[in-house]
Amino acid sequence: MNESEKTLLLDAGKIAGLIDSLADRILEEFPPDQAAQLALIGIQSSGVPLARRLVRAIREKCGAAPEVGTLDISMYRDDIGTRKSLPVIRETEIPFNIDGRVIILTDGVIQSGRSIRAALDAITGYGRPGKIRLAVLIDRGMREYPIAPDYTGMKLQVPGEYRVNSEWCEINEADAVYQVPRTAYTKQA
Amino acid sequence: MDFTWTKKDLLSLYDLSREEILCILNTAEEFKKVSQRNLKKVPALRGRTIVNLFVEPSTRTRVSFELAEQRLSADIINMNAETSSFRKGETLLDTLRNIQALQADIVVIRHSAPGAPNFLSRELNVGVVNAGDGAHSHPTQALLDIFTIREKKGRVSGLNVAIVGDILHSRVARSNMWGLLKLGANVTIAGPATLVPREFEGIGVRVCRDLKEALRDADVINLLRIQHERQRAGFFPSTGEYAKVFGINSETMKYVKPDALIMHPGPVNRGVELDSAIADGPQSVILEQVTNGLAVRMAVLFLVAGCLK
Repeated sequence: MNESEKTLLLDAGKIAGLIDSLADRILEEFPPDQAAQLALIGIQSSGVPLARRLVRAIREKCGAAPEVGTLDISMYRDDIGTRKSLPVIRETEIPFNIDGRVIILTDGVIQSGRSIRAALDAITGYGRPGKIRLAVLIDRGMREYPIAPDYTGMKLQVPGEYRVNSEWCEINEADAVYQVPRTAYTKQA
Repeated sequence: MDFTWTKKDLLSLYDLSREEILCILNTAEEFKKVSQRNLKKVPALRGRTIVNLFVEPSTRTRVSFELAEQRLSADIINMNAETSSFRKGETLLDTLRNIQALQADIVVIRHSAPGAPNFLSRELNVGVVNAGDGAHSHPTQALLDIFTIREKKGRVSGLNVAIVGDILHSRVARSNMWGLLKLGANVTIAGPATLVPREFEGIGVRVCRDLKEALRDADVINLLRIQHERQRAGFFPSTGEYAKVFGINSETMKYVKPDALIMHPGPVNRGVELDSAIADGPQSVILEQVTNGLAVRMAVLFLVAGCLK
């Protein structure tokens, strides 16, 4: 992808504010005694830093430290063989029993809802959670499946010909949300 | 930058780059976790059809592929030499064309003719995975060996790997040599002169006639099955003598590093290339190889399926 085609939508400061408000809303539904029992599971890859940041924010706000895991959905996608290229499988690490637990799935950006569909399927491979909630940093619309986040950092109206990407300093250079023309990806392929 | 797999076939490690081999190993790490869960199945290949065409007998490789396919939710057709139309004189290509006409997606093939998988991948529009072709190649066996080495030792590069036995007739040895050299290991092959020709030095391995010398600095010792028919063909005088000169036993173990891995692709001829006490001992990772074979085959089928158009 050509870096020069990226347009910054949100910087690190704005993202920090969104994470803070997401943590507040989670704590509204789950007060500190319940928050300690939560497990946040980040969808690879952009949901993983979000899950870790949310756990840190919740701990700073109320002292409760929810558990944190990671989930790769590549084995659960319904478009294997129809995509231009295979996704790279990343680590799934759920070092706790999810049976009966309240799980908060996290993802950087929600668009079609297909990733979340796959994630719900993937989660059931590990057990039977009591409740599953969904937290996203950005909802850019364009849903194809009847799936809605429970906690949304921000809704963004971006024309369909752009992808919205969340970047994180743990993975990329810095925290940022960009829009990128979809043609920037096809040119590369 | 993440590496993306792009091949619809797995024919030989000779054809693969270092990055492609690492991609399979990394993918297999995640598939290994699937087999450690209560629910050991993922829907990745749901709706895909895989044909297991084993024209040469096989138990463990076939079972491993079948279980890998089931855990990926694929539909499976099993064909072997006895039940297929080969007996009625049908050619391999005709059999496979019939399979293709049934809209199969992937063919896993074991065949005694070297190059049979390559031939099919050129002629057919399906994914082809080589499950062993003659003395040529057995890529998934080498990948599971290398996966096990990397898992146990934390790396492959710089390790000294000794492969001992009938190198001449072994597709396992050839595949291991190609894969290990690409990942930066130092490979030594050892065995009787009739079964370990000097020609192999040309690909960059050390040829050793003395077992003790091969064992001394080895971090990994991969033993190959000695087939009795080779003795009948005159490659060595007797299995008893082979066991004495090239077998791993309590005597030769004195030359083995205490942290060296003992590997064997199975089935083991106990008392010939490997003594029971060592096959079942603390340095043996033979059963872990079997476990890892499942993960590696799941990874290979997943990657290949993702590149079918």
